[in-house]
Amino acid sequence: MSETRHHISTAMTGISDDPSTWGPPEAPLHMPVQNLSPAPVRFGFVTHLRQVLSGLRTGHQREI
Amino acid sequence: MQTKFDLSPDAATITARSLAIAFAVFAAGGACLLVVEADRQDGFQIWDAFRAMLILLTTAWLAWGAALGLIGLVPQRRSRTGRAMGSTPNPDYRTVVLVPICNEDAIATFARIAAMDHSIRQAGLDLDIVILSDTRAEDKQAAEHAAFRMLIAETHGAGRIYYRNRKDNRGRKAGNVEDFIVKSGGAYKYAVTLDADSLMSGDAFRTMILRMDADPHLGLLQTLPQMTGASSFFARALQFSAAFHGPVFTNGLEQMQGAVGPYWGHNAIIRVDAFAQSCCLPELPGKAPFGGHILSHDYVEAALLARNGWRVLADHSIDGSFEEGPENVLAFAKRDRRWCQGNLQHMRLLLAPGLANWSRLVFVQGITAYLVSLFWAVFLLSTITGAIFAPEPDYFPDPNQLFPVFPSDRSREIIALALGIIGLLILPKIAILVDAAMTARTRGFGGIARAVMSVLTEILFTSMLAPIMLAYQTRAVLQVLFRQDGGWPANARGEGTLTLAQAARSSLWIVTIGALSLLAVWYLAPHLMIWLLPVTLPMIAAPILIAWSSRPALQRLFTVPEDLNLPPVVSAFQDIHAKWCQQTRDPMPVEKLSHAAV
Repeated sequence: MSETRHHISTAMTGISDDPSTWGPPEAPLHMPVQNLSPAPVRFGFVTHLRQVLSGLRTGHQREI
Repeated sequence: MQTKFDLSPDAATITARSLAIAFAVFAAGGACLLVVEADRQDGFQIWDAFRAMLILLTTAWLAWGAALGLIGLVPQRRSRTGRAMGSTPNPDYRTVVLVPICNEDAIATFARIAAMDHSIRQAGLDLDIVILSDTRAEDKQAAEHAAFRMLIAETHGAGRIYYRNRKDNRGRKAGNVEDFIVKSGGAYKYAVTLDADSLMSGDAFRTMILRMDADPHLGLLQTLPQMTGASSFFARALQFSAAFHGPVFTNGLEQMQGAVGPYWGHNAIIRVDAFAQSCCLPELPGKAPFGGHILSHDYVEAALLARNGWRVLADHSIDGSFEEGPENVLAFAKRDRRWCQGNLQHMRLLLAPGLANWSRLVFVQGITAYLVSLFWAVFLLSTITGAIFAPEPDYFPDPNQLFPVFPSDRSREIIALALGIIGLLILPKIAILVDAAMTARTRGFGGIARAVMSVLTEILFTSMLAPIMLAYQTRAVLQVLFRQDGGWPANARGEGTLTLAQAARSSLWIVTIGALSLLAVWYLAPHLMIWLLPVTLPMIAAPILIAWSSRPALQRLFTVPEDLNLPPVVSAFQDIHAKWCQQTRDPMPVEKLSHAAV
């Protein structure tokens, strides 16, 4: 394979001899890292216990 | 950011899902009841409850797969595109073809790209192609550089075919594509992602682009690649199965998935801004195999696109999409080890925020696909152990009893269970064969007689291989569960014929387990011998099966449409590959090569 390389000249291919120049043109695009961490399960045990035992609505307080 | 598209399943999707779930529950419940009934006759114990649970899970999995095949026989009524497709791609939208590679056979990989470039230009398309190399070994890099020069000379592709080698291989293949999108993705509307062994025709590229143009909410469209280039008995069986059964199973999947479809990592088109917005994967905390880079990134990327409201669809009806497959059992098992680790890693992602329920179910399916082998192995082991340690029958449970009470025969339940499980495995394949004969699809497979012969041979062959694959998969699952990182080595493409010694070296442990199990059962529970022979005999014969199936097969068996009409892009690849191989063996002088390239 390395021998073949020498037989294909720059003139034939129209590309530079330096592989670092063969890349695509730059056109940056933002790529935000995604969040895959499970949200912590917040179970307000005491709050729910109060609801069950006393029937108090402690979650959303509304103005009457 | 786009307004989120409603991905709620429509009535047809809900019906398909309900039917599949009902079928799986019914079959699993029936199998579980049979086991309970059989075990109840000599006293139901906690051990029996464990076995009943295992058979419930394994049968549910088999029935779910069977349901996919059976639902896939029903043609889809809804329009695939949602709206009318144009006849020419939008000229304002640029498309790039991405070929991520790492330590591949450079000549074969770049010859495929040359063949695709010819086909793309014949289809009147103007696409860029970018080879994204993660190869680190200097000799392989040099081979890629030489092959790239040959590619440019062959295609006159300077200015539209690019090559870049990444210094930092962070994130492996997913990181490789991400790196391109971050640096150059802004120039393109769509990107077609390929593997090193992918081949796609210009017409397939055109259809995919038109589908994306027609549906601005479509984030990803996955094709069903057909296997090509198979030569061994094993690979041809796999190729036949993929061509004959694959489209029907994929049709079933399409009907169940709704707009939350799969991504298999290659032979698919993505909307670049949607992908950039949704798919930069984080590293998971902790060490491999469960932490670190996300290995099976494609399933996760599909789920993240859907999370952001982008439609993800698969379409088996797009022709001209090809890939190569493993040539023997060992190459298949090696690939399966990687996929096993990648899928089990998804356990960490089941509770990721905002995912569609179907995406979570897809993760569960991918995990179950491997855990189920462990379940079967434990079921077999517990059945043998239970039989060996079963208490002696008490013929006179009552002290004043005159006549003995013989233990009841459990053969009826066991035969019913075995027939039910075999039925779940074979029924969809037979149904697909009948459907293919009635719709004349068998013509592409050499006619009805040859298709029947191929289907029956494939069923027999896969049945013989099943215990061997079960052993490899069980080992893979245990390795991952015991936190052994298998890494992500390059695909073993083109690995061909194996000698008996090579096969024996990799399967001696399977032979040992099979022989010891058979001996133990023969000595301790001889009445179970007949039931275990279909499992233990193939295990004992594993080296012969593996070596024999890696040898070239007759073309008459496992005929596929590509055997009868070689697609032009595959034919072009074979010609270019042969020519380049000849050139590299016998390098031509510049003048001669110059003419050849023109």
